[in-house]
Amino acid sequence: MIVPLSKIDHPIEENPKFVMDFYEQYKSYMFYAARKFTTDQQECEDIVHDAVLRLLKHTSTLHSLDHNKTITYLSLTIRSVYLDRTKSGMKKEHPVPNTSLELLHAKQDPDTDEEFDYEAKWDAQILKGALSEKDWNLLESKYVIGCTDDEIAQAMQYSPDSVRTLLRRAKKRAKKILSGKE
Amino acid sequence: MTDKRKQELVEQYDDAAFALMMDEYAEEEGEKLLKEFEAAMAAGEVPDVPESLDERCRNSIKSEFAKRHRKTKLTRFRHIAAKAAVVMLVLVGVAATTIGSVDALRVPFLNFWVEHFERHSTFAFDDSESPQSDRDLLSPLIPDDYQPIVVQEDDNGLSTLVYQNSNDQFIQFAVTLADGEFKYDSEDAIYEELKLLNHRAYLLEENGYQMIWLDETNGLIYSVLATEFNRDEFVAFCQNIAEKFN
Repeated sequence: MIVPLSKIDHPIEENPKFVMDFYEQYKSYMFYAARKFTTDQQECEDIVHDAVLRLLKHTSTLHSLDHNKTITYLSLTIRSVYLDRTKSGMKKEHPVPNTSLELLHAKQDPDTDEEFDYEAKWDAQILKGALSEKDWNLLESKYVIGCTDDEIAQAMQYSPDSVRTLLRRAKKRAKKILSGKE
Repeated sequence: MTDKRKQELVEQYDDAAFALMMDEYAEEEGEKLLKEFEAAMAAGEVPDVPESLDERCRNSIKSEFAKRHRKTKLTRFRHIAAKAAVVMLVLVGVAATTIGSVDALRVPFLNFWVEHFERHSTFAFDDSESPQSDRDLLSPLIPDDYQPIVVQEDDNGLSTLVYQNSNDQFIQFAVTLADGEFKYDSEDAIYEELKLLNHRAYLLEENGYQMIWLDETNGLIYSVLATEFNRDEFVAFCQNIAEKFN
């Protein structure tokens, strides 16, 4: 059973012991999560190692998460690493054209907001089922993993401005869904 | 409120609302995933973390923090060095200003410097607007291969000038006030009395030649020393100087 770590007062960046203890506590879960995506042993190890390297860049975030959110955060990080490795592997064999119809449409659509019912229930589970995978992943990256627009842009190979446009569109669609208008 | 401001506020509201919603989602989702993991552990379906992976991850964590620690130390060292440099600069500035402006400090300091760093000291004073200095009078008479290494003037305007060439040969010129009786007495040095213009002079030979003469009219004693000239050259040299300063 995973026991939540006790929080330490001084800045996490100066506490390698916290990060090492964090790794010790959650390494089994990370390896288990990686094996959901692939059964290849070496691939699993590489995914977990890459995930650890990413976590090292966001050590202050680790410190701020409670137990359950840490699990979600790790789960999404492992998935993100897997997808990135898959994409980069695919790109070597099947070069992806550098066009995005969605981005084009997003730039062509007017950026005005329709009337939104702010009394509507903000339920993520409704959105998860209704939004496209891409829109949902964008919202997860932004609000759960806490990626910056630049980090998302790098992962998706868009410019940061394009990411902001896509996020705006994703939130607009999400609000329509929550209002029951889609 | 302008439409633009309204739009900004709506975006901020949406951003906050999405953040809160997704935070709640992360909490619920985490709980589900944790239950699933614990069930898998109980069923023995969670594999052990391979030793090779464990070692890789630990090493990565250690080297990351070692890198951060080095960077922090370097940053701290730079901050301290910068502060120390500023302090030193201020101290040197204050000391230089104090020594330069207080006669009681400047004279002993310069004398100390000349005494201990004679070969490498040059003191120069901008006298371009004042009447011709001793240096100006003397310079045309000094051979071309000699360079001034000491140019000193005391409070009475009396000079000590030292020149040196690349063969470490020296020419020294000094002017002092004539106090009391003009007399040179050396038991060991070879010397002869002679006249330089109309001045009573002594020529000494000891590790080169030295000429000392008295300008009774102005109450000054001149001293010239040279290590490279022969006797006749030196006497002619001093003759020229005496004429220049007459």
